[in-house]
Amino acid sequence: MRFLKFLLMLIFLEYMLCPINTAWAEEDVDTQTSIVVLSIPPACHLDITNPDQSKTLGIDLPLEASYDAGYTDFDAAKPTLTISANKSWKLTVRSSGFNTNGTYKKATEDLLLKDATSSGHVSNSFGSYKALTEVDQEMASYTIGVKAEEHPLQYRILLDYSKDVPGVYTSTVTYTLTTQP
Amino acid sequence: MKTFVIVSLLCLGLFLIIGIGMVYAVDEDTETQTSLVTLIIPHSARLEISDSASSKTLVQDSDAETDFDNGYTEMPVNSPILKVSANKNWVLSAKASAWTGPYAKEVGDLQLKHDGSYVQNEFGAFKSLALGDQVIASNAIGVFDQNYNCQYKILLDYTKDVPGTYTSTVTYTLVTES
Repeated sequence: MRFLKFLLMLIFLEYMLCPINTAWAEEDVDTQTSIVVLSIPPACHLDITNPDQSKTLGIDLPLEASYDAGYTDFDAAKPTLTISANKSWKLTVRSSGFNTNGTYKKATEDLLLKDATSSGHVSNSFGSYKALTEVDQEMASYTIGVKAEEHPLQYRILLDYSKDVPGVYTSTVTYTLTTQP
Repeated sequence: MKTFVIVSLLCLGLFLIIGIGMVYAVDEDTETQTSLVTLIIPHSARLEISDSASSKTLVQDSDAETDFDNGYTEMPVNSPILKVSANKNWVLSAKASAWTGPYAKEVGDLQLKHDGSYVQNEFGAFKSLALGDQVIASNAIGVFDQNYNCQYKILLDYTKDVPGTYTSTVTYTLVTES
């Protein structure tokens, strides 16, 4: 009887202890997930340095030589545009046209622009002087993003003794950088 | 439990699809800068002259007699040649100095004509110069490299023009006008 009790106790202990031992032998694993989402929209940034350029013929620039040449050049790399974009982009330019001097309105196309960037992203022949118009013209573009890409620009104004009477000629040039679909 | 996992995965997929869709639906970005360009042009007038010295020696028993008979001698053509450039309305004038020579020859004995445009005061044909400026050409607007081929004529008179060397300086002035 005593032996039977002892045997039953052993069986009971075996039953109770063995599952616990098995549980201790296995590592525990617990998993959670965290989702990080960053939405980046099309982004571009256009900076301009030395935007306003003013010259006086006969003081800053040679007078008669400029008329003889038929044009006068402004300073190189003034203004300079700095372009950043996170996808394909396009840079356009347009002129407001010149103000009227008396009854004379100088032709808008007498203002020329050249882009001396080394990036290779100039388009539409703006790598050499090209006349501006009052509607946007593409002057540079690229198929992927760029960071702080410099575009040193230079203005040229055509001159004609028979038209360009003394006075102050002003034009506003607007540069627009747009990301492309 | 299974159902919960499936629903969660579907929600996550939907969220990602909507998120990506929202990114693509966002407008393209645009930035603008302006640049002001100003050019100040003053009055500009340029007068060039070539073949400015006009000289002639009358030869005895030849053109001297013919010229005296005619009452004048014509100096070489296209001497001088003026070239006018101006960026607004302009006036070209000429005046002669008093003669240097054996006697005080009349200033008006020196005459001038030119073949240029915008002629004034009948200087398209020979006309006497004076000590004071006379307008020989003008225009209401600018011109570029307008040529004026000039020629002098000197009146001669047996009774006055004794032998000698007669010299006069002619001054041409180009002015833009206000």
